[in-house]
Amino acid sequence: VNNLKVSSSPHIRGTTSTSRIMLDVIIALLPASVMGCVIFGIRALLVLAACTASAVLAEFLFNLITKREQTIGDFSAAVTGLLLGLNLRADAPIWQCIVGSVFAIIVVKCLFGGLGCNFANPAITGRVFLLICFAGSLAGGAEPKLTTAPELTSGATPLVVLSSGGELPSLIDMFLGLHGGAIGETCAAALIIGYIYLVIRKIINFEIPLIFVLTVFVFSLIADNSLTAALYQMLSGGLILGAVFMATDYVTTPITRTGKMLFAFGAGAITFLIRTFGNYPEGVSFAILFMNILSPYIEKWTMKRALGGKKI
Amino acid sequence: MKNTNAITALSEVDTETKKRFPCVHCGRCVSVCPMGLNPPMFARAMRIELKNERVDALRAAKTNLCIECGCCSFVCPSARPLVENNRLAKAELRAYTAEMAKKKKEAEK
Repeated sequence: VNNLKVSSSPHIRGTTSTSRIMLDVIIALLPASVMGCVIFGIRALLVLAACTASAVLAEFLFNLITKREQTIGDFSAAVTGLLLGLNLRADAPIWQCIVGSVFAIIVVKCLFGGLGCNFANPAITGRVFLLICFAGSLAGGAEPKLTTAPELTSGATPLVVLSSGGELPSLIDMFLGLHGGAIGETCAAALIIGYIYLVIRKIINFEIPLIFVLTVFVFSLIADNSLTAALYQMLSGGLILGAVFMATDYVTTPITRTGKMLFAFGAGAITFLIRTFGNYPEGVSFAILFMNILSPYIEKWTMKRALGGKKI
Repeated sequence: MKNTNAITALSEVDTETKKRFPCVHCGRCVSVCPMGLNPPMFARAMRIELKNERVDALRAAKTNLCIECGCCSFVCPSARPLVENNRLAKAELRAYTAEMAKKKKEAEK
């Protein structure tokens, strides 16, 4: 009788698990990480490793101190750390990377109750935090090592060039990632591979990154009236990285599919507004952060009508 | 024995209990629900302390429309007890409604 298990139906459960989903996200981030290390050199690997390790360690220590169940096994801290690392410059000081990771994990995630309870994407908030605190060393992006001198030099990202004039890299270079920027955001090709993987594994809805990127593209096309400028807008900055990996974060986006689409559209529109009219050349992280805060309202607003029920 | 309407033989893999994680808002349950309901909303409503507020929240979430098909529990990657929770919620809703009706009847007397 001791071997009997009593459970409520359904007795069979699907095979996908939250830790497997997080692992899939890490796998999808690998092409971009590898390309980042190839483009920006070994220093990029150090930044990624520092961010990921400190994020996992921060969560481990927090759970230990607060005597909670250990949650590093769900890989969500690793995803946050890796994403934050990909959002930083390859020549960012290591201690700043660690401060960003610890802030993202402890303040944004753990203090709100851990996985599933955070109101904003930890990686995005960590990046914005670092951007505001250490604007000098984190704004802009490192120049790719493949094309320039062996020493990492800092230079204007294409977005800065776009808004203040200057020479732009060719569109092919833009697509392959041979231009200034954060480690993971420059190589569009690698990010698209990650996107395709996530769609095939059914981790994300395919339309969310598309809506985000196309909104920015279409608005830029209307505003600048030139296809090249719109293509540069689409390929530069953290747009693709943000659209594929951050606007699709489960916890901080609405639960309904229409809500997710609205979220993506709103984030795209705000990105365009910040890039065109704002002081910051880059608006993706602020746009996603802003939409994160709006998402409970979007969720309420897009609730499906129950079959046979009155509209809520 | 007459109450037993079926015996299901499961393979060993299916009898393993899946590791439970917190709800991550992935929305899989919402997209598979044939009734167009929002199972995490019931779970949130059930955590409300005050009984009358809890019942109001459960009514607003249309808990009684759930047909207990189990799709939400099946797809949940975090193995949340969605259907179980909803059975409890429905029972509570029924008991509360009956209690209210009884009180109303007594007041009329």
